[in-house]
Amino acid sequence: MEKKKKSSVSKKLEECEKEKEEYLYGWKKAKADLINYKKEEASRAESLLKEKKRGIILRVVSVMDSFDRAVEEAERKEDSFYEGFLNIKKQMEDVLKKEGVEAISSLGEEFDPSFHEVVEMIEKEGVESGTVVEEVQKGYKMDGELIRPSKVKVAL
Amino acid sequence: MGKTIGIDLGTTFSAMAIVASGEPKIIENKEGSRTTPSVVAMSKKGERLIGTIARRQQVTNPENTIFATKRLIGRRFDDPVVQKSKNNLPYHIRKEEKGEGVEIQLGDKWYKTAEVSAMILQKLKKDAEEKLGEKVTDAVITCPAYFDDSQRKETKVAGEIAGFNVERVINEPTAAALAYGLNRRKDEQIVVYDFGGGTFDVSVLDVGDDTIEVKSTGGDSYLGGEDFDEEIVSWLIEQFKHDNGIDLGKDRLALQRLKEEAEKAKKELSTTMETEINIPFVTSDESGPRHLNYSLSRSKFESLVEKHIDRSIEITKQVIEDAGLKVEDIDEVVLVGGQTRIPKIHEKVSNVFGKEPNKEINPDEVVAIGAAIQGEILSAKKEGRKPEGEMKDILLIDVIPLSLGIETLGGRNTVLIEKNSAIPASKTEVFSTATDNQTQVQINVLQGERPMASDNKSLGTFVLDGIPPSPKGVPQIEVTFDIDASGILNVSAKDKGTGKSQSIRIEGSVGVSDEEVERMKKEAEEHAEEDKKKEELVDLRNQAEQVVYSAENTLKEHGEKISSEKKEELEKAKSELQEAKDGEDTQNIKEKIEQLSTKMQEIGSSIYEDKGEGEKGDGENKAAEDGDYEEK
Repeated sequence: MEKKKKSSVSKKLEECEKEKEEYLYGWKKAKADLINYKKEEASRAESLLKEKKRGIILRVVSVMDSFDRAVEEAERKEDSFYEGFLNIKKQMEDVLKKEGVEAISSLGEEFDPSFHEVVEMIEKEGVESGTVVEEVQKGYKMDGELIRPSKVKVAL
Repeated sequence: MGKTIGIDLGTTFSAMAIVASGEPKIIENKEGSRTTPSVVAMSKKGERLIGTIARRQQVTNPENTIFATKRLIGRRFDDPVVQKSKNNLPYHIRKEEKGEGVEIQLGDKWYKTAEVSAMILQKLKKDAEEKLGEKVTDAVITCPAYFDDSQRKETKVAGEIAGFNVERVINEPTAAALAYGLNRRKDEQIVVYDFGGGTFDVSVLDVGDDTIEVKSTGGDSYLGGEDFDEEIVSWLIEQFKHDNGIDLGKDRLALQRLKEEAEKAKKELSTTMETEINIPFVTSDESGPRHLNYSLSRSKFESLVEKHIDRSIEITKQVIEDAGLKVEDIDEVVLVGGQTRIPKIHEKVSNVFGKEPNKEINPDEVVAIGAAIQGEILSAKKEGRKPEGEMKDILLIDVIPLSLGIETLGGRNTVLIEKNSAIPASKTEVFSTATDNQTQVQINVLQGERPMASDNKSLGTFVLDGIPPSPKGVPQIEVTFDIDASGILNVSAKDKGTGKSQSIRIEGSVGVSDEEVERMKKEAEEHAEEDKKKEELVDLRNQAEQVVYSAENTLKEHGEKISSEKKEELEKAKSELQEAKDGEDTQNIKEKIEQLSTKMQEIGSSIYEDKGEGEKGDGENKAAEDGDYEEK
């Protein structure tokens, strides 16, 4: 009788030990996960912020495209209204510059898919094949990283 | 032991994910994007380019830019699909020298389709290893449900060439179901509706004991989001032609701008009711530059694309019929693919099935996420442990199904612990009294989502008394909700002034039946409008009481300085507001509040004027000024 009781107690103890190990593991794991999560969360917050900024800058940059097209299409380039208009554009460029945004140069350079996206191949005499001959849309970098490639036409 | 990565190897885009700390998450590529174009190219200098870079140079190098390999992989060269693509592909394909399959030319060499897919997988592997800072060898790769043996085998081979140990090739719809944890259900029929950028797929799955079986599948490999964009572009061209007589469709550059703006507009219309498509200087003619500026409403957009959505619904119904089922037999619906963000698609799918589809996980990422979960299940099995993220098997983490709060001024429900909070949890907030010299507060503990206390379930009440008499808003009553792991809620209230406290213990605040939770949530939604009105009424009543209170104070403090005529006006406005306050007419209460406030301002400024004059008179008498100050 005594023995039976003892064995049932030791079985119970064994179960408890096992359960304890499981719980302890679970607890430690949860704690470790939380610490790791906090670290990840911090870096996630940073990249989220960067992503948000990138999104806003991309929208502003598309306004810059309109400025660029307007300059291209302008007929009267002498009057003071046009000068004022250019100053507004300059103002926008300064805002972007302060945010670490810079335009990528492409014209006359060798086509580089890391920074340029080709929209058309065209014949151009006296120009080496693979050279950017026209920039359709400016590309931009932010803090040294590409945020939008330049859209270009490349010589055949 | 390294992690098992999940890869969604797509026709146009691929994505990868991993389970870390029990949570599946997408791994970004080296360029920082969550998806990678499934494009491979050989540059003129003989460099191998993969992903975005390859796509950017496509126009300069069409013969050596390989895309949509997924349409070719594992097929025989004489397969009608291959023959059909052959004429449309800018790159060269041929029949394998030693075999029946397809070979693709890249630079001077001919590659097997699996080798080309392997190049994409290799980039993903390398990027993942850089991001995670550890070697990644085990992978689960997904493929469409309609892939046959040979296509699956080749997908596996592609993984192996890339250096992966391919644990399994699983169906895309199965992965999507796994991402939602639907594999844990028993005997359920699931529809996975996958509307991507270029293809539409729909599958019916049968979830049994530890297995997910594809019962039927269908779709249209040339129906996708691009068709939606095209509809917007055509609409813009038509409008512009009508207004300006210029066909933008013939202007390549303008057309490209239209395409970009159309895609942007489509995305925006998933969250807004109307969007503006504004392209200054879109083109020019003899008369000068022309600008494009149109508003596109969500309903107009819906009417433009409805035919495509209807077609997808027809296919869906057919696929269900093929499975030998009826729409009513379907237990769950899962949405996959970016286009399912379009509210009309969501609405039509909900209407067909009469239930809300699963759509919480980013539809562009759900397949990769599911593959990662499958990967984690497999590695756990190999290592003889429980899969991460299923810790609840041993350690039960419960959540509270409904919000817990207390009743506050005006019969409002102020929530302390939000629904779906993991427990154990606790929260403390400080409240005060609503009337002057209030010596006791009644704490009414509430459960539910409705803003008015009376519409929620009261779990219990208790009284904290012995608060020293003081003006309203002065005493600080600290209320603490403390809910333990078994769902037992302890609510205590403590007067910070006297330190006196009182508490109540409520058991079973977690154990609400599912039906009850559903009913309460549904009620909250249904009554949202009505509740808003009630809330507004309560707010106004509270505001009215405040104004009446300060009017009474003004009369008490400055009564002697106010002319009897003004006093009478104030009394009248006050009693009118008191009367209005008890009614239901919000407009009337607003007017009466305004009226009384104006009267008070008049009196206020006349008191200050009087005081100001007095000060002027006694300007040099410092003592008198001090005396005046003390009086206040």
